[in-house]
Amino acid sequence: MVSVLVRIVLLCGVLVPLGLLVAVSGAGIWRWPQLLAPQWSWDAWTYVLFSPDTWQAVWTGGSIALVVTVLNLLVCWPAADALTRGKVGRDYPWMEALLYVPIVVTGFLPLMGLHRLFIRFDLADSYIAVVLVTWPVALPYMLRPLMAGFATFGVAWEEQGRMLGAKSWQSASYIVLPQLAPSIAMGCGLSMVVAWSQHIIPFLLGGGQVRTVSMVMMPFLVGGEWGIGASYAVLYTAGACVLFWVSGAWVRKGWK
Amino acid sequence: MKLHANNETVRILKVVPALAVIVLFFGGGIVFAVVQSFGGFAVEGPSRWTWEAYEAVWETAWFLPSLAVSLRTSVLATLFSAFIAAGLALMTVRAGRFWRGMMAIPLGVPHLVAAVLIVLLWQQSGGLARLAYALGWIDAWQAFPIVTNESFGWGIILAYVWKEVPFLYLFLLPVLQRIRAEWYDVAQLCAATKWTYGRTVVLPLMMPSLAVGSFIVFAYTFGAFEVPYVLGVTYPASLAVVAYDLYTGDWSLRPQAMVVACIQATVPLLVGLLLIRLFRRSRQQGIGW
Repeated sequence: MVSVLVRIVLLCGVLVPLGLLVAVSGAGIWRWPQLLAPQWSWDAWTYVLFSPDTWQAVWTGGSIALVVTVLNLLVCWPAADALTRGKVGRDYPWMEALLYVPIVVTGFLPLMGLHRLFIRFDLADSYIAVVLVTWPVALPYMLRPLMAGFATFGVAWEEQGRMLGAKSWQSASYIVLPQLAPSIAMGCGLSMVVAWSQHIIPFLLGGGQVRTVSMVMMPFLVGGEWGIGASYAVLYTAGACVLFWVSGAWVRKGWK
Repeated sequence: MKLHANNETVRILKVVPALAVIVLFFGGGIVFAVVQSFGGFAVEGPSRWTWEAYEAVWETAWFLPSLAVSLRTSVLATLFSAFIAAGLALMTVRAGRFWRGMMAIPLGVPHLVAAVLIVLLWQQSGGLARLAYALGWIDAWQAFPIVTNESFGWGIILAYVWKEVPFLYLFLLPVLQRIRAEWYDVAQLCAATKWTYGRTVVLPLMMPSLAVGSFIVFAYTFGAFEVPYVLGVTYPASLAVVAYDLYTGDWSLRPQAMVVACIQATVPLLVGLLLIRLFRRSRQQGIGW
């Protein structure tokens, strides 16, 4: 009985706000105190889906997420391997701790410091600046699943491979990849979502030149254009879910 | 260079690229920001070492109220999230995919959107106000309590709870699932009630993970910008919003923006060090796995 009640409360708590967002995106004029919107209107969605700004922003945000994720996979794979198997992780615990610092230190500190540096090197307001700053922020989310994967993997399979004459890239793609596909899929998915969801990094470091979905969305919300703002919010959220799902599915399928 | 399992130098070299990313593009930023807060790399005029920006921030009227807003919202959001998540996790240990799938949904929602959701639901003419009106609980939108954009920060807390309860829930669930049902049978043989079993077995096993998870939540909510930007008030604004305003305002205020950002990063650091000390002590008492 209690369990059923908790289930219902939770279901409402999670789904009602999201449902309301979708409703607002298609409500058109929705006056107080109407509980339900009088009619569904595609006006806001038509504007959002046919605005070139939208797809430019989706491409910018999505490609940043993809580049950051690939970069993170490249640096986290060897790191996760070395930290979990062998003595390095035990002998130098500060290494692992350092890699998780971006989870704990949030806010503006690293952002503002680098901004000044980028201005000096003429990198400010550029795509590269946004990628470079998003990279460490998403890194722990790639590292964690990979370390969990390597920790349960052992070295015997790779030793076997080496004995049979496998080169290191062969061992990576034929032995480690298939075995760790779930961990890699999770890491890529999380890294994608974290990179895609950043708002303030592209906002401050992109200087208006690098426009992602959240930046296109904000003026409408601030200006009280709730229909269009909510449509962008749905798109922004859906983008995160699609990136998580696609990167996971792609990794799993690719090495089955 | 061959990949030998025992070659320690090679193994350290494998960690170097990841470390370099953090040190260069994160640590470097922190160092530069701290240097700027003490007057280095001045945007205009000569650079010199000075406490001026710190003194200026300390003497402003907004500093303490803003610190209070940030602390209040992040501490309360963390406590509420921790209690709700722990309760839910304990109730649903044996529950399967439904709960995990359900709780994973808010994780994928960006913080900015979570803040917008709270506005749509809780503002005075929002979804809940309309529901209250339809049910006859209020007779005008003015009668609905002000929850968003008020100075206590309830809206901010609500948005964070909505986002962080699922995070903590999914953080705790694997730990609780390692507690086997048979242990309760054994405890009952020792004449333990459900309450003593929970207090002496489940709670100590759950505590380290709950503490780490809560700390992550605290550190994040204390530093984050999006939610207080959407759901806060102009005065007193949370530290993140103040830092943003200072940074995007007059150039001469940039050192002060760096000062606020430094304070924002230092508070979670101190809390973290305190937690590590507490941890050591409780480890000696045998709490944890």
